[in-house]
Amino acid sequence: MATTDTDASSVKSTRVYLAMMLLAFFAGPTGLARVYRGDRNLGWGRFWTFIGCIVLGMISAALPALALLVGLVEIGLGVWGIVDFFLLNGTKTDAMGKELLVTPYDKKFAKVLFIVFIVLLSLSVVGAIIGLIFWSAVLSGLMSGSLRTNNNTYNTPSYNNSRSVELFSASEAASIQEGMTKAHVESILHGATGDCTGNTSYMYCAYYSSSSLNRNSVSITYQDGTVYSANAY
Amino acid sequence: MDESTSAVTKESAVNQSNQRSYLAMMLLAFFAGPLGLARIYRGDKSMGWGRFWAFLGCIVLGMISATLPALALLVGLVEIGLGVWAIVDFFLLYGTKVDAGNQPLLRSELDARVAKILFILFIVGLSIALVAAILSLIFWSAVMSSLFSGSMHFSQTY
Repeated sequence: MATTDTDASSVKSTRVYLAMMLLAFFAGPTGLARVYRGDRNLGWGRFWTFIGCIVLGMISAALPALALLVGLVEIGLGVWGIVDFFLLNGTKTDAMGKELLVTPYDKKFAKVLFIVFIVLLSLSVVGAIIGLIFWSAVLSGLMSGSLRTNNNTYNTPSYNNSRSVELFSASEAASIQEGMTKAHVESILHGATGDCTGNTSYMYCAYYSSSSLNRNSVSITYQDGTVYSANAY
Repeated sequence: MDESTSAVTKESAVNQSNQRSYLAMMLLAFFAGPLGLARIYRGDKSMGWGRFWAFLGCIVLGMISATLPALALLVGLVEIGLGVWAIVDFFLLYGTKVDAGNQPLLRSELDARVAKILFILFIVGLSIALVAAILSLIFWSAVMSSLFSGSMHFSQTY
């Protein structure tokens, strides 16, 4: 065991197992644990890549392609940091093959660190999965919402726009009630209302009176030839 | 034998099962200062665990304090206290050569060098944080004062 031959000369360059594990735990993606272990090229390579990502990340706001590249490299460094933690956990020697100094106390501490790492990693994975489900649901909801909007006949009849006086008043718009026939509605609005049939609140036609000073609006949904819903605003 | 290696003596080698690493302690103080883990590692169990549980308590209470402004204020003050304590503790621990049981900490030349870099990084980080805090204070006081004068102006207009 490395702890039995620790005279002053050997301690000069002795590396401590727990210090290496702490660097892997807190600063995994930077590769500092590798630098400390003596894997200079690997460690410094990762370190400067990490610093480069931070610098490029700051200036990549206006460059989506660069931002994507930086993000991918950061993910790579993160995954490498996780894998490296497990690799280093099983390591007993430094890069020169010299045994790392590990006291029973440090070993106990490193074991706790390992458990905390596993717990945090599991929580992160669960969090990532929940986040993925949530955002995919949000995105699919948005997508279906936009498709529905495209199918709607959300229109302003042309004769409305051409009028320079009010086509219908606010009180006329408010008088449109559920169950009214289409003909009744058209007599109130003084014009055809088009084919706005649907069975949800998304399927409606909106009509606007033409006066820019006192604009009245009403949205109507028909079902089976009668008003399913009407909102004047 | 220089100072960095003087900690390692024949006596300490005998009791090495209990010996603690100076660098590991400094890394804990650097990365997890407010949690007090460096103190726990050093052997200051009651102080370390007290800070650790205070920190965890702050996190738990912080989650449920959204609807309780007085509790949120208390949690915030305790967190600031733990943060300041961690900064002070980092400097105290940097000058420490022994653990809580008065046994020398294991410190190789390499570890001393790494700890020195850590110390410089800590100072740089602290300075940047301080400058950022002052700048944000100036910014927010300017925003608040303009808002305040704006609201006074509104009340006069109306």
